[in-house]
Amino acid sequence: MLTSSTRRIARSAVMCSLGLFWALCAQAQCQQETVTGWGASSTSIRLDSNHVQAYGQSWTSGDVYLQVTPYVESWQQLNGSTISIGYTGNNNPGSTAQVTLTTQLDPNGPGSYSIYSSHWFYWACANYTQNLGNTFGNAVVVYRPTITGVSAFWWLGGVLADNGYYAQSGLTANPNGASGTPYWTVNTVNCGGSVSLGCNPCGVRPASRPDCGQHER
Amino acid sequence: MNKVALLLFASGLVVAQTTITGISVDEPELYYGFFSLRTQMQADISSAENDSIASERQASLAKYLHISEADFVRAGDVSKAVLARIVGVVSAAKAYNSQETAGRRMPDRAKLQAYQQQRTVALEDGMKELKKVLSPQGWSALHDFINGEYRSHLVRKEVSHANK
Repeated sequence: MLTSSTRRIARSAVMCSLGLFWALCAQAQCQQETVTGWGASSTSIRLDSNHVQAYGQSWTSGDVYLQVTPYVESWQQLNGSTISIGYTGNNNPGSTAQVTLTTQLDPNGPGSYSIYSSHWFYWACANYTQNLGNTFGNAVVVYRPTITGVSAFWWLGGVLADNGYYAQSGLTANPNGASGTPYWTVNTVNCGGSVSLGCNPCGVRPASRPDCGQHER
Repeated sequence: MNKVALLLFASGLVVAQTTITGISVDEPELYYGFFSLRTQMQADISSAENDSIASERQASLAKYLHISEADFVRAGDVSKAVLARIVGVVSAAKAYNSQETAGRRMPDRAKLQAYQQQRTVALEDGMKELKKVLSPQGWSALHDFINGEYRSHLVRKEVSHANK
């Protein structure tokens, strides 16, 4: 007594051997195959002074990997809350599905940035999508660059005599992992005292209040 | 709830059980993932608004891989060459599949295996090339990165629709 499944396979085999019903033959071949699905999420990277970036990837290998289309969907998170999502659709079989998520730090601020991804594989010959599961990349913790030093040394502006005090001081700049040239400005009132400082490399850097004519030493 | 489940099954979107298997050191597909990643990094550098930001990105990405910028550039050249070679293999395999499909023939299993073998050989050659062109320190660091941090965030699974 043949089961319905056995009868179906036998029928397909006969049709295939006669060179008939190509779609059924392809379906039969598709049913017996496996490919290896791969998925990865990268550690988040401090890309430049104002961006954090991470990658999600899916791809396949194996004898019939061209039958399968990889997809990847990635979520970038700040302190555990999703701030951006990326998805690759319409990817070609045989190529890597890759998502790059880049976030500008300026509006988001410091914190723990991480990415996780979900990996999908679509068998066109069977109209079937399988999920590999999720992968999780390591987080990068972003701190805001800081300056430390004496307070309000620039308030010497406007006096008739400064008695040897200078409107300049050394401030210690700590980039806290930022690349490029971190830049700080402190604004108070016009020519009453404002200070700006940029550093590359950072360390103890001189800072001066702007030239205000007679008030400047 | 039942309607949602029915919709998912009808569209073929079925989430399978995930089995994470071990990935051996220097597994060729590890390098495929790296070559793809490195090529994407180059695109990210090229898309920078200006040269200063591009330099900054290159320095950051080299630091991420624990290699010098000179080795980063060399690794980029190797990645590009390996992926171009694999594109050639994929194109040949696709052409063969199309030809067999048009002739209403089943693709020959041995030929499909040969295409996969060509891909594996290209990846192994790429790994050897990295070792050859990078500085000894750069190769050691990159090898550690690929087989350490990168591998630890990589999963693989045999995928099939046999359970459809």
